[in-house]
Amino acid sequence: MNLTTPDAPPGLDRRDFLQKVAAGSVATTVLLVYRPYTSAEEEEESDLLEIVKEASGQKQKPDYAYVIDVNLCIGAGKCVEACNKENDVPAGLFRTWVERYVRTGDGIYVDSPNGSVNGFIEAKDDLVDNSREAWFAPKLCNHCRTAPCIQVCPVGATFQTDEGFVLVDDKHCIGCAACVQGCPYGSRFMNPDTNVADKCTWCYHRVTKGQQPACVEACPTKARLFGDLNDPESDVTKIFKANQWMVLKPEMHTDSYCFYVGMPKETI
Amino acid sequence: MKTPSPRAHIYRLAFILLVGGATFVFVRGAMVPDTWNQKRAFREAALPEIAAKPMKYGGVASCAECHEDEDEIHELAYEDLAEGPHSGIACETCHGPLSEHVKDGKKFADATTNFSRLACLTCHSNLISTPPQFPMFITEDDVLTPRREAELLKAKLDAGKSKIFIHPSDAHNKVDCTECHFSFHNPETS
Repeated sequence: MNLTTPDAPPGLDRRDFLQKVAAGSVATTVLLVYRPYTSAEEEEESDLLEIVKEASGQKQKPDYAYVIDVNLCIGAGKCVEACNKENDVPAGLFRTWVERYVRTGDGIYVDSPNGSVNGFIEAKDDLVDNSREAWFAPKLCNHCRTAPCIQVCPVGATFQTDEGFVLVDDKHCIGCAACVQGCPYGSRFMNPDTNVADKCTWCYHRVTKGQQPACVEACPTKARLFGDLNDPESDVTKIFKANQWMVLKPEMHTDSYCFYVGMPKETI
Repeated sequence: MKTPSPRAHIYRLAFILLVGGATFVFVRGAMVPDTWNQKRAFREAALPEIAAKPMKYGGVASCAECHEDEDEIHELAYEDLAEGPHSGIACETCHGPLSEHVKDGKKFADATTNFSRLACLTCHSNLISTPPQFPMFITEDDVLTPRREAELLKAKLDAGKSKIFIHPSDAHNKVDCTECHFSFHNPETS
């Protein structure tokens, strides 16, 4: 009996056609789902490559981080003075500054007289009387790994190096100040001398010459530490083994690389 | 009159696109910096430019280059600093940056030496926000809040010895610290 309909092309009957459709859909599904490598395997492979590279003597790039131990900060303002002198920061503006937090029953009082460049004098009497807790919080650019300032720069004048420094290219910057608004930490400002954006560089010019940033150098109590997270012997790596730490504004998902040890969580 | 080609409008359009495209490519080429990193969008030449900035603070090693074994003042300072409570502090923290003292390898101005009370009290004054374990200058008649007093007492017990210097109330408020504590570098010795 002939099953082909009169309209069908010669040599293709209904059974053949259905078989081919079924095979085709199975094959398509399999091809869509199946991957020769899963992404996890790929990642593992790249990790292995790193280890092999390290073992064969190829040096890893440094992964710099900044650690501030709030329990040690005495608010002397030596870091601010050093930063201002080292980087020729215009008067009244600060790449780093120290804030004083006083927690009272009525709320939290924060001040930073002149960026604390000359240290602090005692808070007002009523604050002293009502204080329940008080501490100093040094602030600087957090050198975020997913930095909002880099995202918002319209010309690519701010960028992150492989080692983690977030820098401003002052010859390329057009001075639109979008990054000043974009930074959730208030770490950027417009420099009135150059009319471009300015911020902490983690003293890139010092670190590349094997020195510590000026603020770390000047801190009398070693409340500020800077070092390479890939080096198990560096100060910053050691402090992570022993201490609880936090970052400022974790809810902003900036992946900040300034870590604070022993800081009350009211600090913003 | 010659009839225009029926495709003249297409030729015109092609001409405009060509000239416009060429202008765009030329202008863009002139505006994008030479060392532009296409992938990460930054000017690579900026890195060496930023790194070339001169340093102002030279570090402790830069001070020792001249001051080791040169004069007795610094001999004494080094001795005091070797084990005193100020041993971890860099010279430039109090004496100011190297660039204000030395230029092209030669001294051109004296480094900052501050003998006033403020030099000590910048760090050692008793503020409520100073960590309680840090040595502080407190006179006997200072009124501390109960909270602060408890905090200081606890820190004292934790440390196992007194790090809080309570001064007799009478003489000290108008005297420079260096009248009694002769050495800045190790004030505990005298």
